[in-house]
Amino acid sequence: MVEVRLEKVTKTFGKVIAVDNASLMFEDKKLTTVVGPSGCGKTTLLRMVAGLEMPTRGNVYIGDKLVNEVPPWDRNIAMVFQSYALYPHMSVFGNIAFPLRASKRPKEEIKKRVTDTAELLGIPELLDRKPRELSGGQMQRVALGRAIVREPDVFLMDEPLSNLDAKLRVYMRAEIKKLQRVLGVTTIYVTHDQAEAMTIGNTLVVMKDGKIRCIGDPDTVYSKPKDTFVATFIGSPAMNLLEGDFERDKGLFLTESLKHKLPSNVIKVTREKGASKLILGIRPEDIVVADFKAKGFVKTEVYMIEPLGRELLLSLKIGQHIIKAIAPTDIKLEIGGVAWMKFDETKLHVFDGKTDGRIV
Amino acid sequence: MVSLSYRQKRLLSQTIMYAVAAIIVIYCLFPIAWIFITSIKPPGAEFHIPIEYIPSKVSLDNYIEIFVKHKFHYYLLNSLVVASATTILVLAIGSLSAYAIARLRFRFRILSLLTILVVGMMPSIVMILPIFLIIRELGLMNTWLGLIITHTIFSLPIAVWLLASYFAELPFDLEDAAKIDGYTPFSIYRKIIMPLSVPGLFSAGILAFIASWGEFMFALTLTHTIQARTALVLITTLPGAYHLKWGMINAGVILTLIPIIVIVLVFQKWVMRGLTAGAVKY
Repeated sequence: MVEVRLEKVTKTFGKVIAVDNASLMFEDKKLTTVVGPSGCGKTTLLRMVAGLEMPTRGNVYIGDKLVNEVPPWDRNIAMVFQSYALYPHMSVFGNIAFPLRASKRPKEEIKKRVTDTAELLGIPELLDRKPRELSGGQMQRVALGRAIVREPDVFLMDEPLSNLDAKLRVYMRAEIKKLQRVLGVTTIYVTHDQAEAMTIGNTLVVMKDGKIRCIGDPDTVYSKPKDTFVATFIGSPAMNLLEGDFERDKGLFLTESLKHKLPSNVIKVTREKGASKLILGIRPEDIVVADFKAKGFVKTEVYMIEPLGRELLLSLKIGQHIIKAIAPTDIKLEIGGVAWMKFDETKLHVFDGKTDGRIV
Repeated sequence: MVSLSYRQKRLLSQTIMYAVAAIIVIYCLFPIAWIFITSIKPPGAEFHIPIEYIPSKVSLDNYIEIFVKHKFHYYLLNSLVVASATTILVLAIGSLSAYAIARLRFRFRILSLLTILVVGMMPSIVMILPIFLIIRELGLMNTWLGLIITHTIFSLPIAVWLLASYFAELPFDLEDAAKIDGYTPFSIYRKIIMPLSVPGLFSAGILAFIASWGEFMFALTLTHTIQARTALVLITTLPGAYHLKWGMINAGVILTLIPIIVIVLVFQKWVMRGLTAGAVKY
């Protein structure tokens, strides 16, 4: 049982607060992704688990052990770096064997474990090469090999796929997920790519400005975002947000150019919360677009059409609002023309206009 | 005015460039060539008139004389021991302090780097009296150790600066990775930093060796007998009161030059890499 627990952890560099009072638990045998825009403190969080940074305040536990004062070389963790950090003067074998040599294992055992690891990763023919003779994907595998060979308590991955090209990235994403399931080692995976975070993680942690904004499984975080930041950060293209007023009596959402009758359950909760300013959120794929007038549809102007291959990304203009929507490619629209749209009432997100928090 | 085509202009400018380079090379090498020619003439022949630019008779008598009469090999040994020990000491102390300056976040980092620089820039003549007194009080006059310590002091600053800039180029991630792989800072220094810094260590080491080998003032002041006196200093004492054996003196100079030339030729590839490493960003 190795879970990693942070207890009110704060890290400051001079006056900059990198991580602000973070408490969370990384579950045993699970892959947890930490995602956020750059500079949100996610790497610092990871480095504190690694022992490369000391928390300014708060406690870090690995398993039941308080590790604040334990240096990285005594933590039995493994880390994969964005730059791979392979030792350039050693062969692939030497790189993978390096952590085993630290614990002075017998030669035959080292040889066997390195070879087994290379087999597992599909790189047995590379063992004699030097890192500079490897491609990006191969270096990535060697870095993974060096991490798994020692059978660590915890895997830490700091943007491990950012230096790969798009196609390889998608492939390695699946490889890492599979590997983690096979090995069953508690893994903390840091990335700025929300799609990567969504697909790879059992649990998703969203950070912003050093604070943890939400923790949950990817589906829940996606379908019930806790606030407007999470709503727009997770999912691509991003969720549309419309600011407006709540008309209590009729249950209407009002902006200068849009009047929308809210569903009755939404009205009820919103009334109970007593909110008067609202932010209405709707994901582009939850908008139905038509090239003809139909009942309940609103007239909009087509502002931009971006073909995505499988579908079209539309920018629809209503008054001052630009709303992004996804439409099938066979729809007959042209830029500057008219389109009709309708929100999927069951997929509406309503946030409090003052606190940015979720209402329904 | 004759107008030249582009081709001719290029040819002309190249010719001028090579001519200038040739003049510089001849200017620098002529004294050494002259010393060598003089050293292989039979003793006394160096004063013949007309001057023989190419000796009519080659003789090694000057070399034999300096070894037999003055036991020059002992002085060469002194030079070799002092320069080698200085090099090792400079690399050992210099690389550790350079690593600290390049990597650790401590309060007086910049101040210590500047202090080292000031020591390095100080004219050594300023230090000669205090160092003489210190070495004498320590009872290290006329010993290898006295000279080694002194030479180390003067070679350290440049070694620290050179190595610090070299270490600073190594990515931090490598050390972080090694820490996580289970290594303590000292073993990281030994297994990661040192092997990756071989070119830097070579160039710092060679600079220290050459400086120590060619150092004159302290060697003259701190040593006086065959026990510790270096080859270079001995040569300056060779002119006698009644005779001036130019041939033999020149033989000594050539013998002193050979080790330096060999070292530079053998390690020049490393030195070049080391000297440019700190300056060039890839």
